[in-house]
Amino acid sequence: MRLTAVIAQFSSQGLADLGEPELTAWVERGWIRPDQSGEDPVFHDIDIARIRLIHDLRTLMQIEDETIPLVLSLLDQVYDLRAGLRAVLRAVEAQPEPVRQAIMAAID
Amino acid sequence: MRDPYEILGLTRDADEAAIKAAYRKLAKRHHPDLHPGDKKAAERFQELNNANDLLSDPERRARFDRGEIDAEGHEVPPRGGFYRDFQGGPGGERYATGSQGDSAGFTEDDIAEFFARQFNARHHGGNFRAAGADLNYALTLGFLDAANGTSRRVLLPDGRALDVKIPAGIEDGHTIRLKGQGRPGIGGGAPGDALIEVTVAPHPFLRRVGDDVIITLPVTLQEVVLGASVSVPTIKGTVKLTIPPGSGDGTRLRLRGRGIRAGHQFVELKVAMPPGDEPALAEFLRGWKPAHPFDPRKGMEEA
Repeated sequence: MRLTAVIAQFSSQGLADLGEPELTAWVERGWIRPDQSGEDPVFHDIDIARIRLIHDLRTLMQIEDETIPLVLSLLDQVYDLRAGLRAVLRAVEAQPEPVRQAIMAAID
Repeated sequence: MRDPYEILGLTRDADEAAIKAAYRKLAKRHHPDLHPGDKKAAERFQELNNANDLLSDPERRARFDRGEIDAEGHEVPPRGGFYRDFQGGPGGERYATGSQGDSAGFTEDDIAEFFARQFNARHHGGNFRAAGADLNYALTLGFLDAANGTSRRVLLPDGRALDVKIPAGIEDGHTIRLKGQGRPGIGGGAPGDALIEVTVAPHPFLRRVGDDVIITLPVTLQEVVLGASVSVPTIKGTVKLTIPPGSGDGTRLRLRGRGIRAGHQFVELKVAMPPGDEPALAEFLRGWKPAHPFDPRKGMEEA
């Protein structure tokens, strides 16, 4: 989805306060990183969900603009850690039962 | 749908500011994207949105209060597409902080499930014990109730009612822990606790700094120049305050021991000019030579 289509979609959902200058600024600050592989930046589902999240942080939770990067950075780290932990757990699950037991006993 | 007042931890007489404050606070706490591992967060967030939607519309709230409509069937459309639902999917690597952002499909909370599965397997056929989960509640108090302390009845979803003693001076955002009032434990484990998060609604005139209470009190020109005895609201009712002659705009007076617990109340005077024309005052000022002439804007020229 192009930027204008994203704005139109949010506006139809009653989020008229989310305008083009705002979204452009978020992209410039790196809060939103659309797919830049083509000529125009393209916003995928994950980008749109993240825009919605930033909108919630700013309007619903009244977090100041200067604090947003901190929140996003911590969130990104949490999601990264979860992805990493998930990979470890998948590896553990693929092990034979005695190895699994030994690992779980070591964690406990 | 549960009672919207109960969901937001409000009493029936809560005003708009209290509703807004409670909703914002709880939304901040339960936003699903901030709780990627908690499956119930989306449900709670939805419940909050429904409750807020109903109570923040005065007309619908009034109809609900009169029993003309119930909370059912007025829900806002469920909101899908939370960030957490896409994170880890395609495009997720653009927001990864490290080098590895790739992680293929996963179930809603596979991490918690994995641990549950492993631990259950290990304790299979035996003495698996686990502590009960904590239960979270929200409670919104008026400024005066929070300052003076009170007691409140909190209704639990299982029908129990808990009388909760609120200590004087409780602060906004504080959590009261009721030991053992949460979910029962498994296999003889200890029950969880009930956690009650308190929101304190603002007062129209009084504000709090630590245990001191501050009020900005409008006074007339005569009262501040000539002195007067005026009534001032405090957290324990109205008291008389003597304004000494020769006070000024911004003069701060102390009501000793009238704050929260051992705190004081401070009264900041704010001179209110007469609303209409005062020809006699204007005439007087034309002929008035101050005994102490001064420039109130002294030092501002450089700025």
